[in-house]
Amino acid sequence: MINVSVVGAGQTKFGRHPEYDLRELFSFAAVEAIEEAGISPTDVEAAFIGNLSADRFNNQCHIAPMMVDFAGMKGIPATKCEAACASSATALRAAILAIESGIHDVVIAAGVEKMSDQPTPSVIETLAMAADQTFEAGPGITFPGIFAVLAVAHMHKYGTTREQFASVAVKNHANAVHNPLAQYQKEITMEKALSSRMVAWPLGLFDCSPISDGAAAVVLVRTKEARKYTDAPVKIIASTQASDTMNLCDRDDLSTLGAARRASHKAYKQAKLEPQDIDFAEVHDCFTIAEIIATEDLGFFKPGQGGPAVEQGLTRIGAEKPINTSGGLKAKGHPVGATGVSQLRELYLQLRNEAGKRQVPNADVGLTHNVGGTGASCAIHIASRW
Amino acid sequence: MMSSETTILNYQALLNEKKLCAAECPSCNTLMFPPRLFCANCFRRGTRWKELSGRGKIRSFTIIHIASATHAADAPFVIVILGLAEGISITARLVGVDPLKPEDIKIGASVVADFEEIPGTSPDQSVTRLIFRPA
Repeated sequence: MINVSVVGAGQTKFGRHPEYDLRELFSFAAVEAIEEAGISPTDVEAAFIGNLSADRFNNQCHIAPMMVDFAGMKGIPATKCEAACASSATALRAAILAIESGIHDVVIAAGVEKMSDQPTPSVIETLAMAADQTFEAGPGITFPGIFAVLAVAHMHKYGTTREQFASVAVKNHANAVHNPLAQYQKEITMEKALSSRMVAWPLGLFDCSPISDGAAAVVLVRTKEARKYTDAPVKIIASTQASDTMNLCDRDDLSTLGAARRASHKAYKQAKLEPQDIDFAEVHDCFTIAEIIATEDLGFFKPGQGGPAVEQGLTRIGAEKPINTSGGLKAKGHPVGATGVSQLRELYLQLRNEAGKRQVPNADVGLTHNVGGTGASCAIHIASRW
Repeated sequence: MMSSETTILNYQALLNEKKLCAAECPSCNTLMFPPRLFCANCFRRGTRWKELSGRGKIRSFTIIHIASATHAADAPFVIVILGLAEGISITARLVGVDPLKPEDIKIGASVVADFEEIPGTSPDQSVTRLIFRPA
């Protein structure tokens, strides 16, 4: 069991922010989390910051000291964590381990990404760098293409349909209407989702998460100290991570992500819970098929049943297993390095009854599932109400 | 080249000679693609090249409509994950099919390797790319 709690969380609006620099986006999220925890920036002892590629997106390496200095935490150990789109879940895990080790008491875990400085073909190329440059990105596969390969395998094995993919997009857009920090606070119709421009067959534009800028941050302390900071801390009860082969072609089954299955299996053991004990989850829907596969890998539905489950409305707010109440990566937005911590922020709000019109009734336990690259990394966190 | 060290650089050099090769462990005969210096099964160093038949079947595929900057001029194009007769798997482009007719591309269909010259800035800088065609 993990003995670390969240006592403050912050996030910028996700979307396009040409008006702000990377460090400014980080500071908005970090300062909000610090203020919510009722502490001063100088009380923070260490920072772990998720970021995929400020070097390519913003021509900036070595961002961690720059970020903490700008947000009033000059001098503390500051480390960037990179695991493609799972970067900030690995930053979160590093922060949790720093507290569990006994070395630090108050740690900030954050993520930041500013993708919209570059033209779209260049963003696609940078994201494809998270796949094997020689053997998979080399022939020309893109990130939508990687998940399209999984989609075709899932369709072939289970009969999953494009309508089921579109059901994920329609649901997540409907949830994002109630999230003021979401990139797209608007509903879409099934017809619109299905008629969108093809990106990587069988995935169209509305099967894909957008290019986004944004930051998210949480303040973490030891659970036995947590009530000193807030009346309603959120307890993290599992933190796990697993890896898989970089290349899709090295995997026996292309309809599932082995790292997600391994990391979630360990997380359930760590928290002494079963999949049916999870009241709601934020999963990594970088593409609609990824949410369907996630709900199967996490044990919420049997393999092959993720598509029918979303189509039948079983993953809506108010149904048996609400998924991506925030709007998910699809509609909330996906500033890749910020996503993992943003997922935990949604758990923090839900478990404190602060999620407004998207509140899950009787939410006691939530799970985050953050996937990096081709699924070569996956980190899982489980959190519970105080 | 067939006696060279099983590095990724030498894999490409063999491809330039129109030879598709994987690494093979001389101890346990495990075949590895992409090539590895250490056996993935028994962890022994000192794998050797084995030329592959180039015959395989489609495991899954996609059609890239919006490509990265490097490949944008080629879109739309087909990417396949295919299982080779020798039991290993490769990701590559599939040519000789209509990328606007995905319904004509079938999982399980037979394909065969071919080699395509990608011109460089001068003739000695051209490289060979592995592609597959319907068998």
